[in-house]
Amino acid sequence: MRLTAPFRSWWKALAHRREMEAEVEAELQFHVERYAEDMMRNGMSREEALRHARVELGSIAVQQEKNRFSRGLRPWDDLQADVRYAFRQLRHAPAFTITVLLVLTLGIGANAAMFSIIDATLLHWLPYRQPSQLVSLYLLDDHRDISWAYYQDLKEWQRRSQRLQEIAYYDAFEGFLETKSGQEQVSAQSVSSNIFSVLGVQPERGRTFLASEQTSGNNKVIILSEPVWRIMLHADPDVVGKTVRLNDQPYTVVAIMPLGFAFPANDHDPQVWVPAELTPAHQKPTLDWSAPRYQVIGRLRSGATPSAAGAELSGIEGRLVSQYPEEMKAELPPARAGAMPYRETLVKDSRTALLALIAAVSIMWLIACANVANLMLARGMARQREIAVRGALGASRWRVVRQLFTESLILSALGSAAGLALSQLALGIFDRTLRTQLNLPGRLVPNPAVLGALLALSVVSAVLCGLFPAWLAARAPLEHSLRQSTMQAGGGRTRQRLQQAMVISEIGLSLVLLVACGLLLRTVFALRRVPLGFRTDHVLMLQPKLPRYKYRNIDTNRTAYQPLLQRVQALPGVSSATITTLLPLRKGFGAVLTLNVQTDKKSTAPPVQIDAQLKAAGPELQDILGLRMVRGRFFSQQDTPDSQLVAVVNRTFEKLYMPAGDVMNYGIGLGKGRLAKIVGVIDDFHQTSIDRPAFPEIDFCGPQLRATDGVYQPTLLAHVEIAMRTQTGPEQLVPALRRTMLEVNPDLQAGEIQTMEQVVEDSMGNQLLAAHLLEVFAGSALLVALAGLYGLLAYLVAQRTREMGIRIALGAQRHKIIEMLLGQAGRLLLAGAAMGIVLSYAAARLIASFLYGVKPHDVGTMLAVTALLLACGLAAAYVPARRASRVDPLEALRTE
Amino acid sequence: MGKQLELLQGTLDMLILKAVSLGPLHGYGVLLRIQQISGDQLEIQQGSLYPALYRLEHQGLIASDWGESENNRKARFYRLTTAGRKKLQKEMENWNRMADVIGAILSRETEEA
Repeated sequence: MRLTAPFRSWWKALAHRREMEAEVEAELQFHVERYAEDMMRNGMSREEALRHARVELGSIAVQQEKNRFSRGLRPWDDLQADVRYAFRQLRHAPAFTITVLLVLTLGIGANAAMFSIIDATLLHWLPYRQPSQLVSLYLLDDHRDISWAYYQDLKEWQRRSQRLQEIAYYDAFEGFLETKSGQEQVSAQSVSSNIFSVLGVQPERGRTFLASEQTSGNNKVIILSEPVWRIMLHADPDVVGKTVRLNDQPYTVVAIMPLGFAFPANDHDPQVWVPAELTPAHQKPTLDWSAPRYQVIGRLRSGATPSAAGAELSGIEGRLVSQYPEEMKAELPPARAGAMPYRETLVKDSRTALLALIAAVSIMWLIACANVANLMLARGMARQREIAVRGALGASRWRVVRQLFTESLILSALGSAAGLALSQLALGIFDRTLRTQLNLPGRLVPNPAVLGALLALSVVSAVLCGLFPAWLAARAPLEHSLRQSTMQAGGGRTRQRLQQAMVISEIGLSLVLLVACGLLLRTVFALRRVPLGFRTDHVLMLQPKLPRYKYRNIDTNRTAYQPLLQRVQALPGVSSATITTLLPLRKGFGAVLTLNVQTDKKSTAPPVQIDAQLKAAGPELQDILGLRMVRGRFFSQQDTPDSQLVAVVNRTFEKLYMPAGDVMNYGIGLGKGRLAKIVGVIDDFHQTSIDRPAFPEIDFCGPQLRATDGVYQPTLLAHVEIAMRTQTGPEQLVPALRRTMLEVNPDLQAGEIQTMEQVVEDSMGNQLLAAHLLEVFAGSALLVALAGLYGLLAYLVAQRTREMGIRIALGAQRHKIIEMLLGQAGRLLLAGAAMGIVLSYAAARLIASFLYGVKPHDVGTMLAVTALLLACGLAAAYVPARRASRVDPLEALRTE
Repeated sequence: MGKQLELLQGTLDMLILKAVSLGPLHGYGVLLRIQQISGDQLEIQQGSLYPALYRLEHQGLIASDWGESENNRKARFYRLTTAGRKKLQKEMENWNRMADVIGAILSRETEEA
């Protein structure tokens, strides 16, 4: 009863305000009349008595106010009044309001978009227990590249590691699950039986794998992810214990994982897990290159760090290395195991880009806040009289600050709402790029975390850009501003200094963004100008995909790809086509052969070791990619299975081979007495990415290779693409190709078709994305900073109209006035530019890893960008300066 | 009528509770009742009566209903709630203890214990 009373009274006061006021009035009226009657009984006239009673009670309006005050409604009423007043104020200054809103929308919108991306990547919610304890464990080879761990290694880690609680391993394979609608592709993982315990997740239904289920014969059990169970198996409630068919093998379902669980976490396809079968190859005492390898994940003991775990594993690994066979030992550097937080492995490629972009949006937001604060300051100055009047009427300083703060809060709330809309728009526009570059799960929608961050952002924005100006405005002495007219109120020196400082920082910060943008644009430009070494126009690539389980022991090259190639070659519009195992800039499969080439039979110098990529391709490849020969010839139609085996190498290979003599005299043995003669050297091109140099390469003539040749398996059997040169625009051929694939073999329908131009574009993806986003940020930042500069100068000019009038009246030349004002602007610009150059010197390091063909501290870019900024700044300053010089002295003096 | 006493700070609420504890009253009635009981010795600022009533109502110590006054006019009548009765009880005990203590201190005449 006691607790509810206040709420009832508040409810009545807020929801039925009019009714309550009427009641109060009636009550008071009754009081007055009764009192008056009593006084009339003592002989007072009616008018006299009523007047007396009213005076004693106080005015009804005051009583009404006291009533609300008694009910604790004062803060609410004040807030309402503030909000109403604020809206009125904002409506009366539309130019100010719109500018502020635009600036805040840009600043907050960019941050909201970025935060959505960060939330989905760097802060990615992982569906595991204490995910920060999870680490990926791996081997490091002699190029410090990460590779998977051998089963023998990870067994040793499991046995000896003190810093890790538990270690699990996994490997992906291609899975086709038999459902009512046929074979559906799933992402299948073969995992160690303890993986769910390492991840700390229990199944929704059923049990996890048993250790005994990793042995042959017991391993036909499967755990389903929630989407697989719900969508593919139609949420069959009794599925646990039933048999499903994966890759044509029966598996017993032992569990369904909870909704939201996924492992690996960055795989957005429907997943299933089966136990990793331990075969005799796992138990072999000796190690060789073909020993089973896995991706490894471990859980740290509390207090252990990933780097400590990495060091510990390296120690264990160091002891193991001595047991490796000779040829493997040569590859092993001293520290050869590493650990990295699992979360980081999910985003390791885009981490730097994201951090750079966070920095960019934060800078932009700071610029926006500085700008709005500046506008608020200027406006506060113009409103000084109004504030003084309110103060004189009894408003406390706190009350005035609160009023002004309410205004900035409303502005930033509106800015946030608009910013949210803007960020959604931007994410929509960049959707495709974001998804391919950052591996995001579909469309980003604002979640509570993002909205919370946005709210915090808008409050902080309001504090940053509203509170200080408000405090400054409320601090000004009353009489002073009351006595002066608005036009004269010059504002304190502090305030002017503050405004100038803010304009300088805005300019400085924009310069940082502009420099970063300039550097990335030069990078993109440099990347585009890199001679690729091959033609990209009218080239189409088709990457056929066959369900591997169906074709396990089948020579797919002969049975599926050759027939497809023949059909493709016959298609109208295709001028030539070939099967190739490697295509430039494709992050595909690459077989590397290590050759030990004896330099000279007589010398004792160690043999030259060459790591070379292997490729098999048909003679048409030269025409399709426009490969240039340095010497000799490429394959031709005369190179048939029955003629002399031939091979070509690239220029990098030739250079490495040089110490051993002329590469054209070299032959590569394929085993069984078959020797491939090198007939030509092709010019280098960028095989893996544009910013990496060419890698040594040996090409074999595809049609000549036999299934028994040693190089057949790692090339034609492992990964095949069909490259073709088209007569018309390559895109036009796509439907015909799809039809052909389906006609040749329905299993081929999942193939991917891309133009070479797309491949090149995708390979520059990171830089392009960063450059595009930075273009947007830097452009908006420049605009905002210029608006700030313009606003400040225009305001200062308006303040000094009278002074200008007097100067002109006294004979000042108009161009002198322009010069004077531009000089002022110039000083601000130079100070800002100086600050910006210092800052960008530091900031350029952050993006150094993205740059190609330009140094982080490129003087040219810095100078060009600074010049651009100064030019734009002076242009923005010229408008108000010119206006000042046009002041009519009579007019200016009369306005007083 | 002698010189009226000014109301001690914070005692108005207690007096109102006491006044309505004797039976429902309208605002003016509360005023009259207090003056009557005090033998016209207390001066109550009329302007502060209603805010106090609203405050007590907001706290749930008194409740109000519209009813007919002595001269058949609509008036709001206040009555004590259960919570109000408890509160009054406590306030009275506090007041009496305070009065005893202060009275004892002020009535002390000699220095020795």
